[in-house]
Amino acid sequence: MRIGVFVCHCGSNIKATIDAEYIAAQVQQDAKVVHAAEYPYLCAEGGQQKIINAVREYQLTGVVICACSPRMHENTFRKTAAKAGLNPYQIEIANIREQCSWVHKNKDAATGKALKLAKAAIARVKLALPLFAGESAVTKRALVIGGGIAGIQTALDIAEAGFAVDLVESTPSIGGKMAQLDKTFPTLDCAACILTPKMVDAAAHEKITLHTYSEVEEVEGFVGNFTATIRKKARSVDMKKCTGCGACWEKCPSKRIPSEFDCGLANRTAIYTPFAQAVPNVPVIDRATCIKFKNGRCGLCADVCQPAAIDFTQEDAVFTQEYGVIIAATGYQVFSLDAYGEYAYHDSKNVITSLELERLMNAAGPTGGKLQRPSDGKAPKKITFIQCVGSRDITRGKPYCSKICCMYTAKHAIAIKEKYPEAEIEIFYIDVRTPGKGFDEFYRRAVEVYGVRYIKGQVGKIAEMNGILHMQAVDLLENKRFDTTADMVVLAAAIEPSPGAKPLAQMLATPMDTLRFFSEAHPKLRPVESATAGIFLSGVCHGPKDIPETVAQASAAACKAIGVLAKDKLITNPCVAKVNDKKCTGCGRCIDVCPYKAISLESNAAEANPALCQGCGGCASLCPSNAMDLNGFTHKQVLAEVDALCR
Amino acid sequence: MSVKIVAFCCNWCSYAGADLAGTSRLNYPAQVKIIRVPCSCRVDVQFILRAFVRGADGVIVCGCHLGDCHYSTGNYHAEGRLTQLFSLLDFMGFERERVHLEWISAAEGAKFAATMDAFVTQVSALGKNERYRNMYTKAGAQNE
Amino acid sequence: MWKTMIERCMQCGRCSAACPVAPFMDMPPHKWVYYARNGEGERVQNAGAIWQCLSCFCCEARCPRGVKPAQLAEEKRALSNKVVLLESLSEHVIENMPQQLLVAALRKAR
Repeated sequence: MRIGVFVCHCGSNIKATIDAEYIAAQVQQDAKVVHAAEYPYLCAEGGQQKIINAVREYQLTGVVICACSPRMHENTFRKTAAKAGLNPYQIEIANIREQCSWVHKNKDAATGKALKLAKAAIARVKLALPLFAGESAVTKRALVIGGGIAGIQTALDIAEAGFAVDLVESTPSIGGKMAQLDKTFPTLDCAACILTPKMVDAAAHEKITLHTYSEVEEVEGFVGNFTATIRKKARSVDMKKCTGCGACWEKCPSKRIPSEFDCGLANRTAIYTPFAQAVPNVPVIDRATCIKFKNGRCGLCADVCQPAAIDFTQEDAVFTQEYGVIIAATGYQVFSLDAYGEYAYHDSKNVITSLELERLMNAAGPTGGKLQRPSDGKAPKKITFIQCVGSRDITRGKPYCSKICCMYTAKHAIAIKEKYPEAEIEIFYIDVRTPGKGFDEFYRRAVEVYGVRYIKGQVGKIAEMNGILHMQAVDLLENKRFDTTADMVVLAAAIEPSPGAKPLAQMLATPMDTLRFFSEAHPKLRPVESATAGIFLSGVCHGPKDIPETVAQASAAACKAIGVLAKDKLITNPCVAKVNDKKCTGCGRCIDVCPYKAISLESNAAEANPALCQGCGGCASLCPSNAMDLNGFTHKQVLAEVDALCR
Repeated sequence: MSVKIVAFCCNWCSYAGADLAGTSRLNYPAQVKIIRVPCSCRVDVQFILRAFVRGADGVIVCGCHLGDCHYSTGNYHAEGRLTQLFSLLDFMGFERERVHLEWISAAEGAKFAATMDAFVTQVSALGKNERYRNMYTKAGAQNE
Repeated sequence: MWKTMIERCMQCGRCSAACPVAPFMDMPPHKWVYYARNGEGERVQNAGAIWQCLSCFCCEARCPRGVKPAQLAEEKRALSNKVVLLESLSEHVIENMPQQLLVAALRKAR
């Protein structure tokens, strides 16, 4: 065995705390280490070339790299080894940056630990066997979970590239939150006008299959070979027969159900489409509120349905399908204001959230676009907006900034002023965040052209008395506490991930952060991939963002998905289980523990299928005969690592 | 008196959490040395006992939160195995506080640093592990 | 949350907006935190505002960053060694004083 050890300085990230020269000198005391050197940046072109040259010059059969985390550059250095003619699995990386120089201040202690870590990596590489990656097939079909603008854009991009896509949405129509909006910033485009063409394209595209009013129940498998079980909930309407004429919902006697789409500001019927431009334009019967389903009486919708599309006996349909990739696009919801009693949101009808304001301003909304106070229908003369309700709040709310509220509030102010020039608007803010293209100019228009009053400060308490909202407020630039009144107050409430996101993350075995946003593989360089291969992220399910960013990310996620779908074969991870069939007694314990059903019994000995095995090592640790081992993390390797670290 | 701690961390959650502690420049004692495994279920009881025989004073096993395992069920097996190990340690008369199981996600850099700090304090209170150091049967010693 | 309480303040003003006595103060609660953070604690100690504080804790309840202006006021009051002689207060004041003011004045009234 001829080992080469390379110690990276990583600029000053490692060098400032760890004596790289010392380590390079010390490791050469091991007879098998024939070369050791240190370099400023091993991952760069120059550094990699030095490794390749050293492999050739010193005929190295094993390489140890002491640098940043293997989660950062293991693949980079594996490729370097391959270029040098070495098996890519005969390299080992000692993490002396994230887990050493960056966390220990004492230079002696850090250097001592780095040396131990280097020796542990040397011990491992001595036992490293050449490994050869296998191949697995790719199912050329994508599953997009969530039918808002993010899911729609991703589905369209993947379909345009020529691959089949299934788009699953839990509500009766695609469109998501964007369909509820009135206008969008900074162009004041009508949201429905720019969204509905995309919705129609998604429905019409020959490669896209919509599954609305449906949910994903189970997902198994791995990249290129996922199997999902999807439940299509019973609409009670035959989609093939329905023409979307609307006779059924016109006649439905159950008319007092708060409409989810209108945020409870208007009612819908039990048989309904959520909004006029719904795609598909086929209603569903909400069985919990339908009179016929509750007590057997009615059926008026079926009576008036000319194509006889109503089917009260329809049942949920469950199907399974194979997919090569899955994209999560589950979006967001507005967070509950229960903990914010001081704003009187539940006490007064005239204190509303921004999304509720969107519905009031929308021409297709509960008031036909007329801005009216929900309590008495009068036009509000003075409107107060309060920013950051529940955002940037580490005590009762969300620690993050919800990102979209500064812009949408400026948009609301301008939209109201356009329709009602005499209306008086004040906005209480902590900061005004306008980072996008044309954003700051848009906000300045609100102030300079439309006369919207921005007050740096906040409101402490709201109480409605005799129909007027009284507020205790503070103006920080005047340094004064003052009282003010308004006819209507709009709260920019925080946004949070949809409730379905967490169960989905567990189904997909993909990580989320503590705030229930899906975690990306790398916050800077891999923002649309999750840590789980084959699962991609699109839209707000990954983190708060506005429409332009959502669309950009949706296309990026589609691009990454296409990168997998376009391959005929995927290279599989060779760090898989292997059996020593001479020691195996055929007890079968490994078979039960495998989450991928990768192990089977063949003539009384276990056999692990390298295409299915994902390399967790559960089988290897419980084998009572020590017959099962894990390539890349063998018993001997781990024991050698333990020995080296504890010495 | 400086106690030696070996930490087995699963690649997908706790090792990433440890990296996050690094990118966040948090501090924890240098006596903690991390061994990367694909999943907490890869941690064989042999590895833990070997650490003590070789002079470790404490061993901590870190994995993903239950329900969040990258391999879906691995951490449940780790938990079961460690539970049995604790009983074995009691039987051996070995302080079970020298072994610890913690679930740390990739987003919990601060938790990683705090856990290591707390564990080092806990093990330091127990002192150095003299009892099982260098303990081998005759046959075992020959295999060294 | 590694930062101390004072450093977490983002000067949003919710504490002052919530404070029932703030309109009558010479220095509102958000400014106490600001000055304390800038090392100008003495300005806070010399302000009359800390004696008007009722210790109602609305500020702490509303603060999104877990900052405690009421606690800061109490610290400054304790540092000042001021004492209130009850006999110097008129009957009218004593009868109409909010109970909270008595609580806040604990250990300082004689």
